[in-house]
Amino acid sequence: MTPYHVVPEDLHDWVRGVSGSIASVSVEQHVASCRDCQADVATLVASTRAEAVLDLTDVWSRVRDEIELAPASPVERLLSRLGLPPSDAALVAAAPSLRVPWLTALCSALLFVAAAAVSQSRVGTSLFLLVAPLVPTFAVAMAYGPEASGSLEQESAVPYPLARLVLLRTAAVLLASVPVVAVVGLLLPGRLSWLWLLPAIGFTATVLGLSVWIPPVRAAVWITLVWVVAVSSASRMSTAMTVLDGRYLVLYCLLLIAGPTTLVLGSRHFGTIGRIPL
Amino acid sequence: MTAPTVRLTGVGKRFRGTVALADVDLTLKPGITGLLGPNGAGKTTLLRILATVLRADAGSVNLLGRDPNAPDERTDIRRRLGYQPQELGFPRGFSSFAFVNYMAVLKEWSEREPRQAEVRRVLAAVGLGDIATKRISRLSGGQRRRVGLAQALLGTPDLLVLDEPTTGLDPEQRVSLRQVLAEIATASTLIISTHQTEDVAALCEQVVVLDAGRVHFDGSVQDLVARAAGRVWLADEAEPTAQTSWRLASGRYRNVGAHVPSGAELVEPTLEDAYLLLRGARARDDETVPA
Repeated sequence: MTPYHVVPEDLHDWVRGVSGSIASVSVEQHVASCRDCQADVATLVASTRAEAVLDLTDVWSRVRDEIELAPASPVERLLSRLGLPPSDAALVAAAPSLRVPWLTALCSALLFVAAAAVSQSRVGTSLFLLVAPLVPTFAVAMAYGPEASGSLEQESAVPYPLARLVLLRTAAVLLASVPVVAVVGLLLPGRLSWLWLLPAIGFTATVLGLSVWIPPVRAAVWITLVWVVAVSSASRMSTAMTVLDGRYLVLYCLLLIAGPTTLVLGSRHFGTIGRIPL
Repeated sequence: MTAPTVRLTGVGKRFRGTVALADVDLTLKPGITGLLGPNGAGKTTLLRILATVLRADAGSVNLLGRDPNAPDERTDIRRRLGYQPQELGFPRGFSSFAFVNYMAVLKEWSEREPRQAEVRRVLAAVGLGDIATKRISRLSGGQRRRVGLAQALLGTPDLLVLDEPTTGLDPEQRVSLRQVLAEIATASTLIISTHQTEDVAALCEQVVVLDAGRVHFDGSVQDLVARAAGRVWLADEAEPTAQTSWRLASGRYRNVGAHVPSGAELVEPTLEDAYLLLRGARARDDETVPA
């Protein structure tokens, strides 16, 4: 027995194998002849093993996370970078409308509209006015509802507010679709290049409001029918641009306010959105 | 005495003039309740009301001491609710893990690490732990139902509403599911709709028989089975007066009916016998109702 013992920190470092070479030799010589320090070493070795086991559990858990959970999609990463909480970003990115087939359809429609716009004819202007506001409207309608998400019934029985989910997805879809259509619109002359955005956003808001009672795609179809009749009537009577007169612009702004308000109040009242298929 | 967790009084629901539920009174306590009834009896409508995805047109509904028609109270109920609908839909391209993880986010599991641990727990509980990364579109029907069940089990809900959870499961999977549900039922209220009377007999303390939107029996499994005592018998021929007869593997006929011939060889009734007898009694009642 020796009256001197290794300082606990040095002993701990030696057990963990992080002592310097000189200190290591010194500790080793002392431990070889000191029963007290040998007992301390035994305790330290046991706890170090337990730490190692805990570390391994943690490592294994992280490996499983990597394997089992697909990495965040580019859309999800972008939304997170824009400041959306990660859980909200994951919910928005799960919207089927953000998938490749939908984007392909959107691009096809845009090519058609661009061709009409480039022609700079009256027919081209009418065609742009007819199609452009409907693109974001359908994009939003396809982002949720029974047709878009087969899991609506499960999603309706959770505490997360459905209206919030729908509004988040709507914002994401508009962010994805409006800028593309807006760039095409710049090819057109005068105020048409930006004024079409008002009916587009007004119709989108109307889809949100109507979806409290009917599936959103059906709401978009009804809006399309009304819009086609309105644009073609205006075109026959004078010019399609009539649908962008001041009084109609006020109407689109009113729809913009009424739609989301109806969605929030309606989903709060009924506890779900749209009609779950019987 | 345990307090009721679900209390329905005079609940009614109509769809475009068709009565789906009429004057339903129901009280449930922790434990498992089986919901039996033919197709179109209103079982799914009743479960949707209990799952807060549908509002009743009439009567009062109280779930876990709260009113599902009040928005804030409805959210409180949903925090303690698990629901597996009859028709399961999944977003395209999702694996079991991704889908249950997605549902966990909607159930307010916002912290990534505890959420993923919970997702692993429920997937393991339904026996999908080893194929969690497989796309749902590549799973069998029974496995998909178990994915639906896994999301319903998130957070060990106080009220679990399961619409035909055993459909598409093989016998081994059904036994395994019974074990999972029996464990949860020690502290939670479970209501399961099924066409499998043997599941109800094996699992449930309480059974509710629904037909044409009305409750025709609400009581213990033993009480329902007791109704068929002395009304099930074996014979060498199918008994014409019996309500239902079928040939057994032994070549003899099992007869179930209200009028037992003298000297018949009576046998112990099963829940299925009792259910068939109840259904037959209802059909006779319908026939005797004056036009």
